[in-house]
Amino acid sequence: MKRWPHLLVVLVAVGASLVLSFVRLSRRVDERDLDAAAQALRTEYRDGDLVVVTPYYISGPRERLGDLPLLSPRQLDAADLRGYARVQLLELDVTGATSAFRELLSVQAQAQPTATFGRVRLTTFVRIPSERRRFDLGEQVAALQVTAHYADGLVARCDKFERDRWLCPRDSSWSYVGREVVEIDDDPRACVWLHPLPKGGELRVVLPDIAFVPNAHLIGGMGFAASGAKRVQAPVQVRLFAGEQELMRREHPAGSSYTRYDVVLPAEPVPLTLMVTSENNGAAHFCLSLSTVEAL
Amino acid sequence: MRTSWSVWKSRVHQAGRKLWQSDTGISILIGLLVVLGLTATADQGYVRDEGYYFKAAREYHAWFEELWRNLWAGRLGESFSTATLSRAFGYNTEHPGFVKLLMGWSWKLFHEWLGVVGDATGYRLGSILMNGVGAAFTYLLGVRVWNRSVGVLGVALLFACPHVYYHSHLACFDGPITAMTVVVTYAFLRSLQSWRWVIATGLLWGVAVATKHNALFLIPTLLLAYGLSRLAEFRWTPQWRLSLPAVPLAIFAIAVLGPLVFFVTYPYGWPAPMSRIGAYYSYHLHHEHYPVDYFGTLYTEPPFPVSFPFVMSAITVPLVVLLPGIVGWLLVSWRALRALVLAFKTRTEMSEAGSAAWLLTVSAFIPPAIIAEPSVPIFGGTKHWMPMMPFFALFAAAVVVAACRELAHVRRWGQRLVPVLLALVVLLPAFETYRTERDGQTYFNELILGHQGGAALGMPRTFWGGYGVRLLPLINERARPGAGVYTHRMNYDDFAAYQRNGLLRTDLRFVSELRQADYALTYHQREYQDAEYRVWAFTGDRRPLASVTFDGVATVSLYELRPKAEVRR
Repeated sequence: MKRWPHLLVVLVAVGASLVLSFVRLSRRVDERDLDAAAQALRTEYRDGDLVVVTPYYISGPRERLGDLPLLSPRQLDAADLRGYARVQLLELDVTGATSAFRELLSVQAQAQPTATFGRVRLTTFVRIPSERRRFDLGEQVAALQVTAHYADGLVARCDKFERDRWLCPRDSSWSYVGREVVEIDDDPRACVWLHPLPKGGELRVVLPDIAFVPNAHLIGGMGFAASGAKRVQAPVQVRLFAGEQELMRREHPAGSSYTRYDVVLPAEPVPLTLMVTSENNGAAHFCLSLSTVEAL
Repeated sequence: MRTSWSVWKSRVHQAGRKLWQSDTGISILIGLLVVLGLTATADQGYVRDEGYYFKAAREYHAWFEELWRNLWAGRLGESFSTATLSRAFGYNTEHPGFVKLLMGWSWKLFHEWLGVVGDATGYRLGSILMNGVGAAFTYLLGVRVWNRSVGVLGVALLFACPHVYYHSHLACFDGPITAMTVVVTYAFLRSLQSWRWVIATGLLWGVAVATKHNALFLIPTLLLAYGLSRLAEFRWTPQWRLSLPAVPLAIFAIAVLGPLVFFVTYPYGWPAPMSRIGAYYSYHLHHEHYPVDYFGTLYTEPPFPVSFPFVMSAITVPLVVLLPGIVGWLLVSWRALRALVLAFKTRTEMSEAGSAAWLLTVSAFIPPAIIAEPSVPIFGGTKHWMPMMPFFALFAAAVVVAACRELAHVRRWGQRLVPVLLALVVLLPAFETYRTERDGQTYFNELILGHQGGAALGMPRTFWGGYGVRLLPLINERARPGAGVYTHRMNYDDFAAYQRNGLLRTDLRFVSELRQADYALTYHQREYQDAEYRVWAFTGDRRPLASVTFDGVATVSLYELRPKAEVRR
């Protein structure tokens, strides 16, 4: 080939282009396979199931199943599965797909036989022990009682309800308690917006009675929305009270991390109250998820 | 009478034949074909900035209409008053005026007067015309340095690159500055031997700097290439003084004529040149940093990764152009080095071929090298170092043409396979361009297996918000009268332009607050992804009505906003 150096370069380029283009085309998921997999999943689906889709960048499964509880994260954590009885894992064999989610679920749950639809695989995992969610803060925003204890001494109810959020009297464009999905630590997370009040003021949220289940677990996570995480001025303190008893005290640091928690509720019914404060609330786009989970 | 007519006819015929057989004629033909081709396919959605430039072009052009009226009314001076100039040209002053003036005139001529193109294409035509000129000069440069085959194939490969093809349609500055870079480089090369081209270089650089501020970097680029080609002439005299080669005359022409052209085409600066032109440059010296997703990390501030422009080029130029292009660049660089060594050995001036080799080597390297500097903003995908692409396409073409020659000598059948090889070289990238025609800026090449690979690696999936256009028919079909549409990365000026061009119903309202909209477009741009998450939170449903996807990877989605029912206590 010394006599044909340019020809070799061009032939390699053309050959590689043809082969790689063929590989690219072969990695596409057929729409009919997605339809069939989605149909099968809906047939198999029961209340209390979680649908997990991987990889996150293929939008077809979400287009078909986005009305169900569905996660399509970059990274799956075992804690994401808490509160569900079963997980429906939908795997797409496309470029960049890995078996990481399957491996995690295999440790956490018992796999049922896999159904294959072209490049789509559907597997039901039964979690052991199974759990169910009795309460979710985001789902019950309308039932919350929100009070703003401002640093200047004013105590005011955030009692203006707008669709899915309670607006506080001051700076209501960001000072509200409402359902959001924000990116925290590289993944979208469903949570409730709890931007702290200025200058150490306290945002107080009283949970409805249904949030309390004797001896159940309160689980969730917290963090700052990625869009402003680098500009956050100070940590946020979160306290959870069961009646007069402080069940949890967490300080979430400034930055882009996601802090998870798991606390056990007492046996006797008591009102649950969340309190959120920060010395400096600059850019503290703080969001928190909370669910009451009981074992089945 | 009849004799003189036939003589005249014969002369015209001969002149025409001579022209079309000359490189000038072929370059004009190539330029025209590119203009026609780009105009006929200018159905890409309006990108964010185009809305601003449409408006600026319209407002700038209104000044000429007013000038005409004032001329006949005997009050010409009014058109040149500070108040008039500030009003007429006071919008979008952070970019030079030339392209927007051209867009205004192309709109007036081809849309308003002749009616041969639509409203938006009328504006885009100004930019497309410059791209046609750039194509012509790419050919001429290819002929000058190599031969006609390289010139023609170079132009073909240039526009077979999806990113270049896409940006060449838009009423923006990236295509035109790419064109002007190759025009100025060609002129500079000719200026080394012709005083006419010295003048031309000065004027053309003026047009370039009146196109986009990137042209400023052309001066160090040209000087560096020239300096390297004359390195043998740097020497110490017996008196230990450094003897330098003569500064190329074109640089003086650039210094004198360039600012003049810029000034003439920047009417906003006429009343107060120092402060207003100074403010324009100051804006770009302190340009804000936009976030960019790169291998899964969202960079929002310096230092940005040095590898960004090189890696992005490696994964966004079709493989059939990429590999020969790199080899071609290496070969030309090698040729330049050999010419330099020869000049040192023989103590003679470097040949034009050697100078051209340095010019091409440096010209292809500097645009990405500038962006590689860690403090330079790196938003905008690949378009900011697109001026390297004409040179790169010529490198690729030179290797392919050499390969075809080699193939022709392979046994008896080699000759017959040359057309097949050429067809594959052009058609493979051209197919990629065809496949992503309206969304070329989202293209990733075979090396990372296309859009899926780009998404898997966490590369920037999209920017600039142009491809929502494909979802507009669905909104038109479904929306109730007067419905509000949240358009995310599509700005109001684009929204209005779609309505003006009949692509969006005029009763629909532009809504900037998502929660007040009936429909929402969300672009899958990492730094703005939260808009889609807000839709999910608001509706409790993650299903879009439709998405524009490539190999299953969405670039933009349309949602119908039916908020989740809430029961108040």
